Amino acid sequence: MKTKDQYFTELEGCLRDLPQVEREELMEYQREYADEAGLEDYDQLTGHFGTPRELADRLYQELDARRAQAASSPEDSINDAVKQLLKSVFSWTDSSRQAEPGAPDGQERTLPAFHNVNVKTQSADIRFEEGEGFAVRYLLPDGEEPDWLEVTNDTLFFTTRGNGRRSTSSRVEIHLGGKSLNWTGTRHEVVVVLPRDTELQQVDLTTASGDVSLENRSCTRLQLHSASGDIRLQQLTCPALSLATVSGDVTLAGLHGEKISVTTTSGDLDCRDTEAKEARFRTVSGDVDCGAALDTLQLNTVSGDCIVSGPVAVSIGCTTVSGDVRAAAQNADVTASTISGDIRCNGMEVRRRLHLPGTGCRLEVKTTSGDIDILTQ
Amino acid sequence: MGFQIGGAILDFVVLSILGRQDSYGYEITQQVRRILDVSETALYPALRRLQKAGLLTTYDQPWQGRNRRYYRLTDEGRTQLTGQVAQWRQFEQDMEQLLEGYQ
Repeated sequence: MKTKDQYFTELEGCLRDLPQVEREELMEYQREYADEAGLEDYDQLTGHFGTPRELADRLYQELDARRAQAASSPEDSINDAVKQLLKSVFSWTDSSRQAEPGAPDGQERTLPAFHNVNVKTQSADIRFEEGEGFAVRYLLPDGEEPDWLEVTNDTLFFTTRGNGRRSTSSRVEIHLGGKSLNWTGTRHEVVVVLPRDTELQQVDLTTASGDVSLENRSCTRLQLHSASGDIRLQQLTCPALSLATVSGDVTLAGLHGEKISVTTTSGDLDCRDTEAKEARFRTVSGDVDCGAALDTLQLNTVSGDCIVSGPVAVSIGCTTVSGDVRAAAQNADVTASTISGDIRCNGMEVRRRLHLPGTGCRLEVKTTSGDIDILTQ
Repeated sequence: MGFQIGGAILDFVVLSILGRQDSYGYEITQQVRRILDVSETALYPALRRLQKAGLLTTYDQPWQGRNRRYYRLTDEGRTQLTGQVAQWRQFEQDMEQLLEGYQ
């Protein structure tokens, strides 16, 4: 069984994005915390915190949130904090906390330069556009309005909220799959405008049902959360990419990354023309089709099917309960097992377990009832 | 809820806990979580930020063969806390007035 030290070594590895001093202090804090909590080995630590990667992701999120908050002074009054709290709990309107007067819907609002982006919408789509300078443009559906728009700490913050107003507009609304289009067919969206060669750093995009698309860009970290909106990333360079959606589909094409993590519940994932070191894809019922060039790939689904075709150098781990798995990996060293599914390897039927030595990457596939189809030649 | 909300309230709760006595990461976390629904991973960034803002300082104390890092309010931290408690008390009073007569 793996040890506590192994857990922390892995955790430290996942925290490489932090400057050294900060990382060391955080590690010391985590070790002390784990000792106090009586967590003695790898399994106990994972049971409590999740995997080192999961813990690191949460720590990054919290650190980013606090860092952004440092833009406002620590002397934020309790009054403001409590009002905010009550407002979100009871959806009161608060006239003292208006969004900055934004441009009328559709017009562009010029902004000072920023290299980090933090946008949250309800149902408006989010996309990026090239422009001469920095700006934001938005066209929001009835029932959604800007809550906060500010560039501070080199970050664009734009948050919308549902305003609870019943729609009084006489515009005709067409609802397609939960998205609203007005009668001219214009999409409701928030568009972030930046010069072409802007070196983006941290990009955080959150939406409930809006779609998110990002292309021809580079950034250092990208985190996307969507409930039902689709995510489409194309021609993107980003070392640390983390996407989560519930039912939205995810399409990744032409990506250059180092670590890619995608989690969906029922959304499908399609990943091709992509290069990265580590990829982790997890779905419940969504299907995964991965044609990326990677060092390591970890795929977990419950009932989603998995297709792996990309060149993977070191290891592929694929587990599913009832999904089927099709994997092609030249000369792979294969271990495959299933309880009640069928296994086929290089065209031949095999009974419940398969071990095929190979010189290529390590391929491990486990299903409970799903079928397995492997090609190593 | 936006991160801002969790931030100011979380800071207030952390400062209040340390206002009573110095404490260490694990213990602070347990106490905060009795009051606020925040994840364990929210505490370190909050403590660090308060430290950077000059409101907290740390010192180490050995405990049963290992090290515990204790957090303590600075003078500035104590001043900040006093101000926030006053604002909170005012808020309590205002709510009291508002809810007079309700069960």
